[in-house]
Amino acid sequence: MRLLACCLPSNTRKTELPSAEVTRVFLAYLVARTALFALLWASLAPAQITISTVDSRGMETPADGLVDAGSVAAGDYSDTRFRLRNAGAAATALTALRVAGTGFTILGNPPLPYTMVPGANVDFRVRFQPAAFGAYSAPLLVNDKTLLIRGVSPQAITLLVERDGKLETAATTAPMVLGRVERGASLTQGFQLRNDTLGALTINRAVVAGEGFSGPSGIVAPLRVDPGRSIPFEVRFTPARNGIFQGSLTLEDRIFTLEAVGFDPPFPDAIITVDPVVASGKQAKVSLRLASAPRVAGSATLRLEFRSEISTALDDPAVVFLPNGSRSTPVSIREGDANLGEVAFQTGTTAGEIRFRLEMPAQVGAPLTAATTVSRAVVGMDTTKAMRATGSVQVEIIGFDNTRTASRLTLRFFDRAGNPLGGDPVRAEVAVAFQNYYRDTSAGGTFLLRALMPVVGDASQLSSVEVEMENSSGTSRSRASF
Amino acid sequence: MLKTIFLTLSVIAPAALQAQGRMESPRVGCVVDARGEVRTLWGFRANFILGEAATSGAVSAACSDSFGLVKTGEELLVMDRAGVVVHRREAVSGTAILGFDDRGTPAFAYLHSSRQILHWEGSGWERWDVAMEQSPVAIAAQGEHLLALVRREDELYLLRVASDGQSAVLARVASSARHAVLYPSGAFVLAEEQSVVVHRADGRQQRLDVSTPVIGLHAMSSQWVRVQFEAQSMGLLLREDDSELYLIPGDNR
Repeated sequence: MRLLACCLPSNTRKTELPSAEVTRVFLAYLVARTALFALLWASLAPAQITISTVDSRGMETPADGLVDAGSVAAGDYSDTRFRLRNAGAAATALTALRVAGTGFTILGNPPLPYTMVPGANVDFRVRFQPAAFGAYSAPLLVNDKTLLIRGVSPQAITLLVERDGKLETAATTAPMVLGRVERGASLTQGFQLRNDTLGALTINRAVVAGEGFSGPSGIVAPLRVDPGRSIPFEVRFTPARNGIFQGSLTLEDRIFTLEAVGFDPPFPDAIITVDPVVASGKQAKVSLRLASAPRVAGSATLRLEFRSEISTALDDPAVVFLPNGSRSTPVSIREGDANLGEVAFQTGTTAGEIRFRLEMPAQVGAPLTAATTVSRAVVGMDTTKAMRATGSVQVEIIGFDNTRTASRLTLRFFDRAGNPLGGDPVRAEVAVAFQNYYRDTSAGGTFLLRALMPVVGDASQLSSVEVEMENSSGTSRSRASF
Repeated sequence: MLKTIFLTLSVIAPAALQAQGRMESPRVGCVVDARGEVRTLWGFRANFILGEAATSGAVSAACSDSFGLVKTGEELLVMDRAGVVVHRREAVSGTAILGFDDRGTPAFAYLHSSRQILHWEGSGWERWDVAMEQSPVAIAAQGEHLLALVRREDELYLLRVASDGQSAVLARVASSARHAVLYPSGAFVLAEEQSVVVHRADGRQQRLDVSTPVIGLHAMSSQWVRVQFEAQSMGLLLREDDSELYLIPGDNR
């Protein structure tokens, strides 16, 4: 229809014509189309196609009449590479390409019909894969040419490999995958030697080679196999490490490639132990162990994540592992040792939750997690100092507020007899000052507060000061001597 | 990191007085990491935060509460509390032993390769024409005198050295320590085989056992000494009665 559309005058699709005129135009189109096809067909003369075989070095040998596919043991195969070439000066069509006969298949052939411009090549392969011993032949048809391909399968022992309770003919042309097994464990692959020929055959060489592979067990060469008999044997694979292993099973001059995978045994489940609640401003420990002794060494990663409870403090840089100062740390797993040790961490000075996550190598499930809560607490005062100077006293407090709600500071002074100095204690509403400080600091909930107070009178009367701080969790007290 | 609050003192004074308060982030001292970067360590015991690097290339360093002394490959630096370099001078390559006076201001620097003692004269370093028989293990200043811990065979001697070279033995300690920190009070800290020994100025001692050999000590401030191990560092908090060790984050070697 595309050709019709393109060859019709464009206006014929738009203008009403008398029916006789339409018929005339259409007949003229049919004549022209037939002539065009005849011309094209004549130019695609099959006689222009030459046939060659191509060896592994790329050398072409003209093929005419008979092609030898060689001698192939039952179960194996050999491929013969063919090349078609359009040796003519005009395009030609490849309209037939097939092989007919048991044991032969054609591979890599183009879809037909296939137009070959002058000088063009078409390569394909004919695979000879005999199922049993004997002589084989098959015709190869290329357009109107026919070649005969022949091959032979010598009388030989057939190797059968057990797969899911069934026997499959083994081939040397592809590796036989025996499976996966844990390092140090073994897997056994069953085989059979079968004599499908009419006479007794002798195996003079049966050898298994390759790291981790052993056998064959059940047979010893030289070995006579009577016609129709099958003799079972086994090959064992015992990897001493993880990885992909390749070995070989040699029977006479046939070498079968064996392939298997060794993998490390999985790690036992891990257990993370940490106190459910920790105080702020501490160095604590999280301990790690496995449910049983691991059979392999490895390395895991312990991570921590801090989730602040305080809306104005999204994070706390002090919450890190020690000593690396990071939020992830490597954990060594020693073979045979279930104890993974302890990892120190800082609890920081912000209320919230610290979550730990242990990422094990080759982990199947979700990483193991545990959490500890840093509870809201009263203002912590790590150090309180009181100093006297001429005309003034200074009180210095190093501490933290893990709620960021410090609101009031109270100082009570005592004389040398331990009696409170008269009048009310010094009180200061410090909420705004603390909020302003925390807005700008990157030191978590820590603070250093220095209060310098002028003194009128004999400052040497001062013996000690009691510091009281309030926040949303309550009141804390500390005392310092001058 | 500095905020101001106001307190009203009404107890001591007969009349209420306005008092001033300041808030800032608590500072532990300075540390030198494995790359020779000098950093401020913020926080307090068991809650440390490692600050940004103030300078790099340090081969020796010591800090007081107010200043830092840093020996780089070719220079001797004086830094203020904020980590800003306030003075620098050329110095022969190699390590140095650095000491402060009791106010925390720079006092002495002993340059190992030239065996030269430099004295801080308020605005710069001056050569101190005193020859030391042995290289000191640690130094500090006591008034105008140099305090030096010096090894003689199996003993460490605490010497007070005057500018004219006259010296007096203040103490003698049997020790194999190769690393020490000395304070102007005469207190010092020694790194023994697998312990850290605090010798207080009044003669009392405290031994803190550690599990691995100490490979270095340096003063982080008047109260903190960094104890360096192969794989980690600890901070030794010097207290009147009971000094304590804490892990320091982010200082792996």
